[in-house]
Formats: sequence, C-alpha cells, structure tokens
Amino acid sequence: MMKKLTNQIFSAVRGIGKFILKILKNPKGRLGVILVGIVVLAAIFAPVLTPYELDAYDVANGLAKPSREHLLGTDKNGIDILTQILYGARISLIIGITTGLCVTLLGATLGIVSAYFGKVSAAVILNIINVLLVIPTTPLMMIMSNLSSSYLMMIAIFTLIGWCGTARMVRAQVLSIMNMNYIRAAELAGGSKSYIMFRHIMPAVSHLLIMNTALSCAGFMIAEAGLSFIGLGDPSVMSWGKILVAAQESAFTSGLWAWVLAPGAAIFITVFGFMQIGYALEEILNPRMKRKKAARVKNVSPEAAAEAVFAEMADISEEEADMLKAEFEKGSHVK
Amino acid sequence: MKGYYLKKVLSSLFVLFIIISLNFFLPRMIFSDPAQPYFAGVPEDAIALREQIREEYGFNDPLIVQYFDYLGRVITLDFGESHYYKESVWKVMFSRIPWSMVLTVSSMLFSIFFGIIFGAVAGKKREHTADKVLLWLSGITTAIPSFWLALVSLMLFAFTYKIFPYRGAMTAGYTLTMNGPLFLVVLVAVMAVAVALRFITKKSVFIFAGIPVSLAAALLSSVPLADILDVAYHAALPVMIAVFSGTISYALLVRNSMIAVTSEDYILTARAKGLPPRVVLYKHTFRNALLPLITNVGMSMAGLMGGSVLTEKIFSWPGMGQLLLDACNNGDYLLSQAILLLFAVITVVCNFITDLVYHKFDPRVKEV
Amino acid sequence: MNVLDIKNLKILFRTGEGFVRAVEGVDIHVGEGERVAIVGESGCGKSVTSLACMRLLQSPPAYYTADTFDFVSRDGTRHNLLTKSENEMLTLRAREMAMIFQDPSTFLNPVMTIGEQLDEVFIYHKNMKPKEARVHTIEMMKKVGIPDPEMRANQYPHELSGGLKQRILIAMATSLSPRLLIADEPTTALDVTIQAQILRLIGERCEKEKMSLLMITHDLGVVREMADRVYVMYCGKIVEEGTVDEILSHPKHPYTKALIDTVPDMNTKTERFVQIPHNVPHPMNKPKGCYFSNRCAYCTELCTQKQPPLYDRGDGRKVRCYYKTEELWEK
Repeated sequence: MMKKLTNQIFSAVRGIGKFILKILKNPKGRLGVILVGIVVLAAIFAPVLTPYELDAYDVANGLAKPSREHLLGTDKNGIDILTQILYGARISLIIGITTGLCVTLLGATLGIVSAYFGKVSAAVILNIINVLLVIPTTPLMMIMSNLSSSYLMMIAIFTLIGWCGTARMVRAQVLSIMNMNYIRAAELAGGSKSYIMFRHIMPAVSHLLIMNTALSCAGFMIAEAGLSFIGLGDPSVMSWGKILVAAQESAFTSGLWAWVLAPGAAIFITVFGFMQIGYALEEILNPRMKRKKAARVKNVSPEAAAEAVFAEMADISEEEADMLKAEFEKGSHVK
Repeated sequence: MKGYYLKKVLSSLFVLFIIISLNFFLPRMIFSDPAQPYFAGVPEDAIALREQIREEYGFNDPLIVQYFDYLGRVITLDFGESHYYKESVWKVMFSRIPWSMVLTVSSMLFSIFFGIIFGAVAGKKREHTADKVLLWLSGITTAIPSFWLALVSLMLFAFTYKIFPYRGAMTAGYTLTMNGPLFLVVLVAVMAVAVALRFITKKSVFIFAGIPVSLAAALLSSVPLADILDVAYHAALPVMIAVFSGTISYALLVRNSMIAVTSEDYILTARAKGLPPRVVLYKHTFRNALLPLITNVGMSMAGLMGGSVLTEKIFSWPGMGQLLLDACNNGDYLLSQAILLLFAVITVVCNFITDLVYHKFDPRVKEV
Repeated sequence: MNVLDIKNLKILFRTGEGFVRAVEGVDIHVGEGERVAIVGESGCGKSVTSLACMRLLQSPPAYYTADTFDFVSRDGTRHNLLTKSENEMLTLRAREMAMIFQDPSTFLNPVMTIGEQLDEVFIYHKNMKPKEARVHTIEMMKKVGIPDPEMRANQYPHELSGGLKQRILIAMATSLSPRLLIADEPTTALDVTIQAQILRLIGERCEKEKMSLLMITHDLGVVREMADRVYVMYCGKIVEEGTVDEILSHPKHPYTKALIDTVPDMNTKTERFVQIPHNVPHPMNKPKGCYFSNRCAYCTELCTQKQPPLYDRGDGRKVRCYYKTEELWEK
C-alpha cells in the first residue's frame, strides 16, 4: 500500500518535472519563467537585497535624484524607491497569483456545473453572469472596497466579480466536448455523471484552465495596480500602484523620471512574464495552436524551390517503363 | 423576432432590478449606520435632532419597508440629495456627464476609426510590416497598464515639455458657456434631416453618419469656438492615450476577423463570380469582418465607463469617474448609488443598441 | 475543338513542413459540349485542379506550372491561364467559365440577400443598374426552378433549404451562360432525394446554354449519370482515362476496379462491404513507386520501385499501370 502511494507520488513528481522542462524548452516559456523568476526572487529576498527599510524616514534626504546610495532616488520622505519596488513586488505577486487561482477555480467549477448539471443550475449561473457582465466592474469594486481596505478583501472582491469570464469560457468548452462522440460513448457505457466529469471532461478542460490561470494572474496584477493607484489599496502594505500615486504628486515637478518609470517597468516585466508563460502553455497543451513558419531554404526564392520540386515530378516514358518491366520479370534488377 | 426582443428587454429589466437591489444593500453592509451621511453638520450630542432625521428619512422602518421605499424612489427617478455637494444628485451628475462624454465618445470614435484602418491594412496582407507591427504592439500594450502610459505621457508632454496642460478640462478660471436649448434644437434638426434622407434614399449610411455630424453641428452652433478649442486642447492628451490602446485592440480584432473571413467559402464564390478584388474586399470580406467589432464596441462601453476613473484622476478631469471616486471617498452613497445605476443603465442600453445594430448587419439571430 | 486543354499541370503548396505535392502532372481536356468527370477519393487533388482552372488558388502558398493550360472562349480566342493577370481573369470568370461548389450553406454570403448576390453578376459583368439586374435575377431564379422568386430574392441564405441554395449557386454560375461549367462535388452536401434533382438541373442547364461540364466527384453514380468521359485521379495523378461506359464496365486500373467494387450492389445481397485497405497516403508521405502500390491487391516488386507512366491503351483509354488487364486479373 505504502509502496503504491510512493510510486504514485514519484510518477506525479516526474510528470510535473517533465512539464516544467517542456515550458523551459519553449522560447516564450523560457522568457516568461526567467522574468517571473526574477520578480519572485526579488520579492522573497527584498530584505537582503536592500539595506533600507520601508519606514526609514529621512526627510532631509527627500526627493533625491538617483545616486549610488539610492539607485532610483528617494521619495518625499526620503524612503528609497528601489526598496519600495522590491517590497511592492510581494503584494503584487500575492494578489495576482491568489486571485488568478481563485478566479480560475471558482469560474471552472461554476462553468462545469452550469454546463453539466441540469437546467436549473445553468439558468441560475447564467443569470448571475449576465448581471455581472452588465455591472461596471471598476465602480462596483470602488464601492465595495469601502467594506474593508485589507488586501485580502481585494482578492475576495476580484474573485467575486472576475469569475464570470472564466466560467463562460469553460462552459462553452465543456458544452463542445459533451457533443463529442467519446462522451456519448462513455454515457452509453453507463459511466456516472461524476465519473465522466472527472475522467473525461476535467482532463479536456484542464489545459484551458492552466493557461487561463497564468493569463488572469497577469490581468489582476494590472487591475491591482490600478485600484491601489486610485487609493483603494491596503494602506498598510507597499504596492506599485501606490508608488505611482506618490510619484504623480512629487516626481513630475522635480523631474525624477526613475520614480515614474521604474514601477511601471516592474509591472510590465511581471505581467509580460506571466503572459508569456500563458502563451507558452497554450502552445504546449494545444499543439494545433503552433503555427510553423514556412520552411525557407537559404538564398533560394520559393519560386525557384517550387521549380526544383516540379522537375522531380516527371514521369518516365512508356519505353523506359517497358524495359524496366522486362528487367524485373527476368529478375536481373537484383544486383 | 419580436419574442426575441421581448426576452431581451425582460432580461435587461431583471438585471437592472438586481443592480438596484445591490445598490440598496451595499451601503447598509458598508456603513455601520446608513443614516450617517444625513447627519452631516449635526453635532454628535444632538441626539434628538439625529433621531428626528432618522425618522424623517425612514431609517427606523423595517428593512423591507425601506427597500420598497427605495425601489419606489428609483422608479420615480428620485435619487435624493448628495450630502456632500448639498445639491440634488441629478444636478451633480448632469454637471459632470457632458465632460465624461467628451472623453469617452471622442476616444471611442477615434479608436474605431483608426482601429478599422490599421486592422484592415494588417489583415489584408499577412506577414506585411503593418501586421507585424500590430502583433508586436498588442503584445506589449496588453502588459502595460494604460494609466501608467498616461502618467508617463503627462510627465513628458505637460511637465518636461510644456506642450499640453496638465490638469482640468478647461484653462483655470474659465467656464464653458453653452446655449443648451440651441444645442438640442440643432441636434434634433440635423438628426431629423438624416432620418429623412435615410427614408428617401433607403441607405442606412445616413443614420450612422447623422449621429456624429449632428453632434458636431450642435456643439459648433451652441458653444463658442474658443471654448471648444480650449476643451479640445485639454482633452488632447487623455484622448490620445485612450485612442492608442483602443486602436490597437480594435485593430487586432479587425485583423483577426479579416483573416478568418478571407478563408471563408463565400469569399471564394465571390471571386469565382469574377468580382473585382476591391468589391470582394469591401462588399464581402469587410462587411462580414466588421461584425465582431460591433459586438465588441457595444460590450466595451461598460469597460470605458469604469476605466475612465483612472484617466480622469490622472488628468483631474471633472467627469463621472472622478465624481464616483470622490463620492466613495466621502461616503456620499446616494451619489455613488445613482452613478452605479447610471453606468448600468448605459451598459444595458448600449447592449440593446448593439443587438439592434448587429441584427441590421447580420440577419442570423445570434445571442450575444 | 477543346474548350479546356491542360497538359502536365503541377500544383504545389508551400507549408510549414515543406512543399505538398497536390497535383503532379495532369493532362485533362474538355471538348465542346462535352461532359467530363474527375473521380477520386478526397485529398487526391481533384478540387485543387478545378480551382486552378478558375485561377482561384492563392499564390503563395500555391505554386503551379503546366506545359499547356489553355482555355478557349466562345469567340475562339485561346487564353493561356498560366500567364493571365488577375484583371484579365475577371473577364473570364462567370462570363466564360463558372463554378458550382460543394456545400451551398457555406458558399453563400450570410449577410447579403440572395437577390443581392445574384445581382452582382449582372451589375459587374453587364454594367447593369441594380433595378435592371434584379429583373434578370428573378428570371434566372425562375430558370433554375425556384418557386416564388420575388420573395426568395429578398431572403437571406439561412432562410433557404440546402437544395434551394444549391439552385441559387447554379443560377449564379450559369446566368451569363459560360462556356465551361465546373461543378465541384455539387451534390455531396445534399440529401439523396435532392441530389437527383440538382444533377438533372445541372444537366438541363448545360444542354440549354451549350456549356461544357467538368464535374468533380467521388460518387460513381453521379459519374454514370452525368459524364461522357472520365478521369480517375489518385494522389495527384491521373491513373485512368476513358469513356464512362468503358471505365465503369471494364476498368483497367486496380484503383478504378477497387472503387467500382466498393459500391454496394442493390440487387445482390453481399455479406460485407468491399473496402480498399488502408487510407489515401498523406501528400507528404506518398509511396516510392506507384502511389497505389501500398493498397493494391496486385502489387509487385516493380510497382514499389518506380512510378509507372500513363500508358496509352488505344481508343482514348489511358492507364497508369505496368500490367495489362489480362495480366492483372491473372495474378
């Protein structure tokens, strides 16, 4: 028993390892993993990477230009901008990744349920989706974030509002899979609903979900930056959006370009990285997506290459063919 | 067909009902005492006075009574008085709506215009430079928050190089003078001419051209040119930012659907008929390729409303987004309720119009 | 005098994996008023050939060449289809050569009315005003047997049945009475009962307008009904050519024989359906010798080594096989 379990764990680990290797082999995936990896390491080792603290007020040194001590300068209170960005990565990653996972999980569950478990559940879920699609999301979030300003609240609100896109996509996918003959065959063979769901439908939508997670992580990071920019973020933690608010107040007039550019670059790198991973997953899991570029022989125009292939197509003449036939009949072709 | 639209109207009304209910319950969840905003200026210890206000506004009634009371007021379009501005919510909103319209409508129109052109050029010839540039740009811009782009351009064009103003919708100290009745008269008159032309010539082009033309004519006749130019000067930067990202997303949409439509069988039929390439392109490919754009424009109205919050904050634009932000920060929930409802109504109406327009171009009924 | 004269037509497609050899040297000719059929399984290059005749293949990815690729229009001018510019082709399409396609539901523009789509032919080829064109459209719709044409003209394709849509496509193709009508599997997507009507209509139209017909099909029943002469195509090559009676009653190529054998006979009760083993080889992966060698019941070592030429067996019969019929059936 124990041995079986360990074997299973081993094969699962090996499967995951192979999968990661596949991502690394894909050029987009490699780029994405490197970019996200840098940000993750920066977030984890923020206290090691910077000698400054987030609450190290040093007003005398405020609004300093980038220098050797402060690579990106300091803000109004003399706090190092680079330090703020490093710590800001933490909240951005936490919110982006948890929301991405939660949204995918909730959206997938509701999407599958709406497609597979009867008309009542479908009607209820589709109506909720219709309402959510009409409500302007940002204003609703602004109103709801008055509930509590903790970043956990932000994750909850994002999840509550953001799942409908995923649910619609999953529902459409499940519906199209259910029309496939192999699902019908499984039903005819007497497979129970939950068996078919876990054995057949889940694997078929899983690639969509993995990809969706990566892409929604990217989307929610941008949304988080926007919300904290309009002042709805958690006041107790540093975030990239917040750095930009402070920058708009002071950096513009004093021409501190690094203060404005660096947080934006940080957002771009992280979001771009996640998106690249998403696209790589799409290519790996859905091979039809991969479009090979037409092979091009060096220095030969396609017309010339086609000409060469045309030449290969010539038929032999009847006389040659007759000779060949005679040869074969005598058996003399064997050398 | 009628049944389809009836269903659509009913579901829209249902959605609005849900939003109104949400509107009622949200403030009661957010504030420990929903009567709080009504006490503005009333001292803490004036308990009798507070109780009187409570009684007057019905906060002592059971929740269900309050709910129906609220429903009744919404149906009669009575949104109450903003406690922060000390004015009726309607008045506050109406002073801001035109400013939001300036930004959203103009950036929408420009984005659609440039998006179609860019997308068509890219989609017509794949592997063309325009196509590569478009794909590259869309890859980059989806990863850049547009508000950051706005910040950078503001710093560059309004602070480092003082080309554009950095805040507001008009130069400080000026107010817009607008002849309201004249605006309406011209708008209605030009629209009427357009509708008349549509019925005489049976070409729906006039309706679509009529909307922007009548708006432009009404504005030009009712607002002094200097004011229009001043607003345009202030709106230039925010509109350009919105148009930049809008153009790319619409262009990508048009490009993808152009490519999809080009390989459709009926395009082959059109070519086999011996139609000139430009006729195949404009009458067959284009007409089908723009269908997804109609849906997308209609759906993106909701996003534009919400997205305007960030732009309006950055450029201190006196629009609805900024108003909503202030209302949220001031706990002015009667105002924020009304704004949320207004946004939802706009979205529902836009979706409905989208459906009608879509149906005009695609006779096959499709549930959007 | 031949209407269509093709010698050694070769067509390639450039793809990610390299060149796909769609058509490898095909000789086809269609005489005045003649009805010719090209038969073969899907993927054998017959549709590509027909599209090439109309010059409707996008190049790139398609590349083609031929020794002769001529079309003779009604006024007797010989047009070289290889060197025609796209603008010159516009004056040939619909006026001199027209095409009917496979699936009428996808080959009509869904957002234009039937009338608008038919009008276009008259508007752009005869320089008619829309109103004038509509008169001709209605007349044309009557000719192809569409009831209540005035009402139908204002309907959209999704409001019509498949049979009616195919009639519309036939009307569209034959409205300028072209000299050559190419029909690419015109009945494949239709119900069996409608198929016969559509075939009869095509036949009638050809006779009335004195059109030659090039019919592309995989259905031997259609061939017997519609064709005077038949080309059997396999993997981008013609494997047999002859008159319809000759081919159907005395097939000389193993592939033709196998095709005929697969048609179930209504009059005798068969235990099993006959089938040709294996599938048509992937165009990137054709056998080395005769392309049919891996599926042929009579394959010899010779067949796997070298592609046989198209032997001329007299009386207009051509067969791409090393062996004469007697030799074959002996084995």
